[in-house]
Amino acid sequence: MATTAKEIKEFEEKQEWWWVAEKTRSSRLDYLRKAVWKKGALGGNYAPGIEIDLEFPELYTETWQENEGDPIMLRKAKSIGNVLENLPIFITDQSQIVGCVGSAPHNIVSYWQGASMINEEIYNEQGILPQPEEKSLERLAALNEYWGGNTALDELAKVLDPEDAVKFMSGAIGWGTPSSAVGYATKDFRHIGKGFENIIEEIDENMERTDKLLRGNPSPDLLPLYDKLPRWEAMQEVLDAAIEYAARYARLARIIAENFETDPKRKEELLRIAETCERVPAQPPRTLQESIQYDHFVQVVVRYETYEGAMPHRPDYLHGPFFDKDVNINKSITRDDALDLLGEHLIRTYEIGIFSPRWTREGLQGITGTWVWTMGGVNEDGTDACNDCTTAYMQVARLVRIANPTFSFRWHPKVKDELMREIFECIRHGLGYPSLRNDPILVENAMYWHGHPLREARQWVTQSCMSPCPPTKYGCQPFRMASATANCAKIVEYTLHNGYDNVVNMQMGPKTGNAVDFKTYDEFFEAWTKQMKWLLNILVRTVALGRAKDPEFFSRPILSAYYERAVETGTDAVDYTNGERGNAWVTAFTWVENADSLAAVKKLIYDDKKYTMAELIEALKNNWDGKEEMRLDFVNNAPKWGNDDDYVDDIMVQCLKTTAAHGKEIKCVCGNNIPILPENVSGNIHYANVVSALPNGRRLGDALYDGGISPGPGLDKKGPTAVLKSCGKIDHVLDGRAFLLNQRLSPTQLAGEKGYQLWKSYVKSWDDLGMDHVQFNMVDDSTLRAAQKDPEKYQEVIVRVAGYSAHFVDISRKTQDNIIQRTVQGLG
Amino acid sequence: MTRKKRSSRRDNKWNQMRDGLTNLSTAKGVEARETVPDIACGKCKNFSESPYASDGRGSCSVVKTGSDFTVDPPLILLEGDTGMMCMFNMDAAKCSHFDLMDIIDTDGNECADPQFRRAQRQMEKAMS
Repeated sequence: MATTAKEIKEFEEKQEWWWVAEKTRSSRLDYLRKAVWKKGALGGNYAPGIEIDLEFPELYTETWQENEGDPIMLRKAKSIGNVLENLPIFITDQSQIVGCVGSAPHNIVSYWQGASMINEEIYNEQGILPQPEEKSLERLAALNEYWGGNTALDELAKVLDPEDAVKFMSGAIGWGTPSSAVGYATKDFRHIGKGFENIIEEIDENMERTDKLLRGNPSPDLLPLYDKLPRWEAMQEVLDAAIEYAARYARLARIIAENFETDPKRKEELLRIAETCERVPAQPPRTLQESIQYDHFVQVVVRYETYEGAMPHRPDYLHGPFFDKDVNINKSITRDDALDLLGEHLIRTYEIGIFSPRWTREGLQGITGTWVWTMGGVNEDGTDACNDCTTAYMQVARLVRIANPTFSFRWHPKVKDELMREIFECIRHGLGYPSLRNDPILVENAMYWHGHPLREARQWVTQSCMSPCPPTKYGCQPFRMASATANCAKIVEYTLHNGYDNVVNMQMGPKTGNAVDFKTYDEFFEAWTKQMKWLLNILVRTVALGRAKDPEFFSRPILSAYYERAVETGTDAVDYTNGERGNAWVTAFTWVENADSLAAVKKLIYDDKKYTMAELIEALKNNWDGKEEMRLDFVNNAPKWGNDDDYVDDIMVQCLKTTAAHGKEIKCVCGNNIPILPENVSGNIHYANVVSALPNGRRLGDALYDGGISPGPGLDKKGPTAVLKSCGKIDHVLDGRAFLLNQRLSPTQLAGEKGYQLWKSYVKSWDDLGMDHVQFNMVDDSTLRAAQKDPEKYQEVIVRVAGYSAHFVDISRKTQDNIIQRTVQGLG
Repeated sequence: MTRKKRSSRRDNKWNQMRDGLTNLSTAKGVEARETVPDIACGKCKNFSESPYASDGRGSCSVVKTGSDFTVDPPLILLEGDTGMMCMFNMDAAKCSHFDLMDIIDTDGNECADPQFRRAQRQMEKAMS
């Protein structure tokens, strides 16, 4: 029965936006949205029905074993080729975009070449084995025994400093795998957009030129050329395989259209899919459908090479010209047709499912990777890059309501009011995205920290959740940051316990002295600084070696073919000697605990002398047991970040400036500096049982703070302006990179035009204070509590977790509670 | 004259632990992987699962690096500042410090507490 306008109005008034979406989207989008599988983990486990794909690793391993004598990149390219040419494919009913990571719609994939411990985790995992389970166990055991001890991470562990390796992999101090087996890479879309056949031709020319040189006068300069030839061959191999992968879809679409499809409209669509896949990615796209299909193939194919956990990307910038041509100029499709394509683009991306180890699942609950798409911003010349496609993506996001991908909007002063209203509508509908990124600040930040030239910095995309990176020939970063994520609350914890970790039972940090012996706060802070430097150093050392060894231990033929600098030089994309400028950072999880804990120590131990350090350490070692009154004193009577209180805000700024100074001393493999990037995803929950009791009053097991510079939940008591003023004391260019701020706003207060104007004023203050990021949750407590009680009825409620969004019902109870506890800020 | 072996920081506890990290998953075949002994490290109060990997590796808060349960009599070291690395299904029958844990969390939906979580499929079966 059709829904009436009155019913939709009622849903709007009740702010049940998920019903508005369902009732107003096209029947195609409705079908596709409901048909797609949920592949993000529900808290820590996968949803019933989700299965690990075993066909993919078996095809890959079969070719890998057959080509033992080949150089690694060529061996890998052949293995991927076998997968792309033989893995089962399918076309979902009503879809217009094809390509999936995995051999069936409900599958998630993993990469057995990456890490033995992940392979064994898959074997041990509950609920994801294809039936019959006995047969799957045999297949998995066979795969694990072949790869055991020989994966990229196994090889790396053999060369890492043993102490560094043990501490890095303790899980206490950081996150991540120091290999591109698990990471994310910026894509050089200007190069990729040439079309794969044209890239193959470029490689042919490079190989011919090199062959000629190798037959010429002998010289030491010739020696490295011999290794380039098999790398180029490998790049061609995977590009050819990708073209064949698309051709298989073309054939499948034609077979269905010509032999099975009875609906003439669907038959026409299938034939259009066939024509599209015959065109792209071999040749550059000509239409919006070809452009999106091309983009999707690029993203899918690279995920047969490795776990690409993010999607650095500017889809409105990439597809905008085709949108404009098809919809506005040629009028070859209607705007509704275009919305169907863009909506399906979101859904097909949501469909990508990759097995994550448990720590990643817990830290990224509800999603399979941080597909944060970058929207808006400026062109190279500084003019507004927002276009009709930007608006359309905002509109269709509200219709399909998926939690992944989400959008990061590059706000700048020239953004038109009409577009700001579309963005506000997304936030008001409770999507939690787009997050707002202050474009001028981040362009300056990219130039300051990594020396990116202005015209390149202006093209930045979000590398993962937060960090800007230019997707240019020398700006592209092939290796996540590289993979250093610090559990920063450990800095203050180790300062208090002389570097010893009571959770993992190990002397982790340096022995900076018994805190009882520190006579002044300055001595305490000096020890904090030593622990901070140790933490950053061990993480960066480890990932730097991982990065340097990656071409030898893992290898990236597809990514190399995607990088102009790698194609030009015959190198692996990850090779740090091929001209990359360097864009590394250290993600600083659980950062704000440092400021609040240091302030508590300064105030109650050193200034007021209300307690002795010995009393505090004793209380912390006992997890505050029997000391509730004292704990509440540390919670309530020590200054807390986010209240415009200089006492603690100065400490926060001091911590950041001290760390930034060290960031200028340490170097990534490219020789560039390393700022910290404070954010958390849901690492604040994952680390809850890993970080001991702290002087801010937190106990072992309590959730950590949720943001990068967000105040502790419920501890920001002086309103949104005070939060902004505290955060505004940070220099968002010099003190680090990309400071994540979560804010909860009241949907009731922000209803209607008045609500929009209040929000716009808030954005103006945010910009005036020079901040680079803010994201909003606008779902009220009553809805969230109702969703906890009756999750079946609230499947489509989305919340901003931190750096990404998730469906509320897909995150753990502890994370849900943590979001509800965040202070709802009243504006105005 | 026998050349005196130079001291090497790689020939120390960290090296043993690093080897432990990379060699822990050495189970062969389905049967060895599926077996959880009645007295297994994963059932002990002193075992804490690694927050880094959920293949079931972890460390002991009592028995230190360098200990070896496979020799007879077992070598159990209680001094040192690094706990022994072990797997959830490691046989602890010879460990005099085994202390059966009353509450074991085999439900992986909630975020984990390394001290109580044992979310491996085999542990779920062994505890049911």
